[in-house]
Amino acid sequence: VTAAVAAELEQLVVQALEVPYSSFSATDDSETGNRYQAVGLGHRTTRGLREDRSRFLDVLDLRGRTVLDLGSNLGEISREARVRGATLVDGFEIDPYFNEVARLVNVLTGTTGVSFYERDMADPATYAEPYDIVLAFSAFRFIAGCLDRLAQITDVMVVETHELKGNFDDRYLGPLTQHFPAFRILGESDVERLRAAGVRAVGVFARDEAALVGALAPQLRDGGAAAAVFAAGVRGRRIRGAVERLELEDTRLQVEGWCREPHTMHDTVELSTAAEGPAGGPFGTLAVTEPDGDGSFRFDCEAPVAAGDLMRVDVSAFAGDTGLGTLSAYWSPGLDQGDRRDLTVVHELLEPVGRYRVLGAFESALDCGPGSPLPRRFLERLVPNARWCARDAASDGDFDLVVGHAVAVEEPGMQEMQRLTRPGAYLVLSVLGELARDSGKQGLGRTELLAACVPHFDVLSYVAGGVAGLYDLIVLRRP
Amino acid sequence: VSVLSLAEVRVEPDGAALASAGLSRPAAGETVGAASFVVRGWALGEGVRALAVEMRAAGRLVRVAPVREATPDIAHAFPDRSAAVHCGFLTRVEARALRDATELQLTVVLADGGRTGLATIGLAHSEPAPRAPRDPKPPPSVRPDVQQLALAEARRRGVTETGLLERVDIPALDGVALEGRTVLDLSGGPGHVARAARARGAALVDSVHEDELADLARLLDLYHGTARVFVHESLAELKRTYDVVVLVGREPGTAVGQLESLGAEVVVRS
Repeated sequence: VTAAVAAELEQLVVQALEVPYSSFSATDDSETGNRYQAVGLGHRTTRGLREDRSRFLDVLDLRGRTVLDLGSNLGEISREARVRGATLVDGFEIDPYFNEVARLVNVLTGTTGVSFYERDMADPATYAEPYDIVLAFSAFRFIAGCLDRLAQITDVMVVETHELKGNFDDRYLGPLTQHFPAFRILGESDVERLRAAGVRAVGVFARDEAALVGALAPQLRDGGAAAAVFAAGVRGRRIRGAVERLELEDTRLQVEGWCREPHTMHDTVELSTAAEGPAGGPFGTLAVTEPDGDGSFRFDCEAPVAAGDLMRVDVSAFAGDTGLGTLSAYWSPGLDQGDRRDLTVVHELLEPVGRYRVLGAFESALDCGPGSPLPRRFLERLVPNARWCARDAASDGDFDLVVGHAVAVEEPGMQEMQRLTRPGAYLVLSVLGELARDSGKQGLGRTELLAACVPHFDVLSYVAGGVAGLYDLIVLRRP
Repeated sequence: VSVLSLAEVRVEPDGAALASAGLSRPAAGETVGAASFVVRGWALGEGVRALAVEMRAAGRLVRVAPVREATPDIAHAFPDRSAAVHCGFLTRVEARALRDATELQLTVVLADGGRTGLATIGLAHSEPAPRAPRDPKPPPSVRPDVQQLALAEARRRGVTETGLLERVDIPALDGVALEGRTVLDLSGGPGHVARAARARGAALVDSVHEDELADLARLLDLYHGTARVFVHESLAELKRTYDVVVLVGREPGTAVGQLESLGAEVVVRS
């Protein structure tokens, strides 16, 4: 477009995004606003609620493909698919205003080959034409009743779950694999939102293994490069540190510790909690402070929250408005500082697994950590229905959960883990990894770590510094 | 659940402690129909950095908003202060947290631990009216703005406005099999032929405009919400071949042989 028309269109887009507007789903009354997606306008990108998910498209081969984008919102994922070589992209979005804005952005950015339709994706009759690949980012609740119909129009679906709530197997994998039995997990989205609330999983689901492999980017099709598939989804906190003191008395909360990001100096530290505040929901930010020169911080603040038997606090470091990472710590009445540290390690290991399957659903668990095993009383508290076992007493094919803190990950060990576990089992391990390397210690590189894991397991999550502010966390699932 | 009215918004920052501070939302008189409302503003400390804004109702702490949102306007007004770049705050306050409160008090927390007042929002609670169906208003639309842009572009290009916004059928396409076929339209102009071909069932239409009317065609496609009609300014942009090439109402600017290389069937109508 000419510069004059582009300027007018950009003004129109910006105005359209500033109008307070929400669309309410006819399916479940869920609300989506016109700031949900960040929108690339060519020379700048507007701020959106969701993180940029186009990295998941980088591990697909979209060249020459026809693509359907379900719940296309402002069209950002549709346009990203086109940029990556799709010949024709259709977006289905029920909201007419979102579609109007999406079309404006198409013209403004010179996008061709991308169209938007006012369609109800919850209606099976919506789906008439075949597509090579169907993208369903955060749209599952609307399409769950249409999977059989979708299986008639495509061989490959890329699905982003909604916020995981221990329901990955039952809500997503079960129904999807009925129609698309071959799948790979690409990683997690929204992990960058520091307090890890609302984490979602993204996977490719296909009619068969050949269709799955064909949908992946060429350089990722052989098993040896499978680690790179997951790399698209990797996000790291990359922050070292520790909460060394945590006291809660009535509503007075005192927290002390330190944190350092290896490459960037932070200028504020924020204390927050998901514990319930006076309005009933998570309280969120409790206080903000400046760190000392060595990265240490101290908070002494009000915490008008319902702490109950267990409260998590999160300490997040920021440089300007950029979040660098978060440390978590757990408080429970009657525990001393050492016990609280152990409790924090156990929670940091198990909470990421609990997003995928409720911890109470595990039946048989193995603690495979070396030397001093994790405190059994905390493991049993979090995974109450499992029979816990140490590594020297483990039997083949016995376990649906494996937990290991400070383990050495190597290929032979992962073979053993595969032997010990059931299909569909989850593993969560902490290792001295890249964050430790960044801090001058010996650590296992991410590529080496993933290369040892991917021949045997799907990699669900990898968080640098995800445990105790030093160890990298990896969550695996046995296919 | 009562209806919450933000009856009054008094912004009274302490000028000695704050170089600049204010609220952009909420506005006085706003009524909160949803479960929460947005509080947005800025606070730039005078000598000491502003870190957060505490919000209290009936003496209870209900929300803490970090001061770190980008504030380009404040940065422009205070170019010598680095803190002015990110001195905004933005949060949502849950209406449920304000039950029984008559005021929401906003206080700025400074880096030295000091606190200074920023604003007070007066609250009024009333019984809710019987629940109306959600948002009976139609969604907003950019269509009137697009219409104005299209007409302005037509004037710039000397194109008559009469009938420009109407959906135009093209009788010259009668007898051309378009249903489910890919079409290249070289007719140019405001894109009437391309849209008509699509309306007649073409699977997609690429239209090439070498006549400076590409933007007008794009704006009219926007106005009509057209799908799968894609405007190009040169044949060189095209990456596919077509079932049908159509050219209506103008002389071919391209050799017929070249047209035949683009599509299986070439239709030229005067």
